[in-house]
Amino acid sequence: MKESKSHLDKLLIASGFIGPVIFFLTVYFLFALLYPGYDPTNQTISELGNASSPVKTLTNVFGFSLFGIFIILFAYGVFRSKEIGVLGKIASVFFFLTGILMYLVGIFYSKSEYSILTSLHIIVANYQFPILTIGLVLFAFDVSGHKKLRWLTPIILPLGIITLVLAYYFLFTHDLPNRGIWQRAAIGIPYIIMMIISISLYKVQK
Amino acid sequence: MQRDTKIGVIILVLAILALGFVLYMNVYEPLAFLDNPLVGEGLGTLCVSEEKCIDFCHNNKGRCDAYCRENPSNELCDILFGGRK
Repeated sequence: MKESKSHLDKLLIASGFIGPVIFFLTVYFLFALLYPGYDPTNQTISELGNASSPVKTLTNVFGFSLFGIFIILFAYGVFRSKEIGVLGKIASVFFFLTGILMYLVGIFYSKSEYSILTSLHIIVANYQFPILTIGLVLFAFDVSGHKKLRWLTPIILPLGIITLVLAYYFLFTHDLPNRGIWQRAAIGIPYIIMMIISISLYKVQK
Repeated sequence: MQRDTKIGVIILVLAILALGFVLYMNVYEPLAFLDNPLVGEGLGTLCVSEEKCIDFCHNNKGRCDAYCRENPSNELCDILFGGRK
């Protein structure tokens, strides 16, 4: 029974690595290549999933929503982990919310510039940045006293700050050149942090 | 069946159902009615179409200008104000 529990916990923790890998491969590269005329340097990843995209369903189902499910599974794995304290459990709630938002990106896609669906899309897409960052910061503080995980703290905190700066620059700069690259960087870094957390937690998980 | 195996199976089933739901939402688009433009094809609540906006802005340039400064992504602003945002 103990072996089964450990196996499930490890699978849940590994979701934090598997999810971003699939997301990067599909949304950053594969689906962008399948979209004729799509310019990844100047177009956002949301445009891969909007109503007029030829790869809409692929992107929304196997890009955004599948990734959201992996984030939710990772959050559950962090919550169950014996290596994590109270702050880490709270962090897992923020990871969970991030996963829900990412999942909803696959449902709230739109074609109009001004519609209820567009507003919903903006909310679920953009609110991931602050929510995930709070979760990562809480996690960083939680593991600062952990013998085998405290090395994560000085990695997570500066990368988290870089993420917020990039997100701010992307979200609040009009006519930003190469906005596709800025967005990919702002989204990519926190999920790379998640991958690092996943790998390290996987290794120490009993 | 062990408890965690059961949890694993439940998680797998829920994940498949959740993905199936997204597939349904993308194929049948039941939320399409929420994608109708909120304010027509014009400038917010000022005017509803290009033709009407040209007339309206001819006599209300200040209001249209203010709207376009606040909503620079509205394509009609480019048409009305020659690319100035």
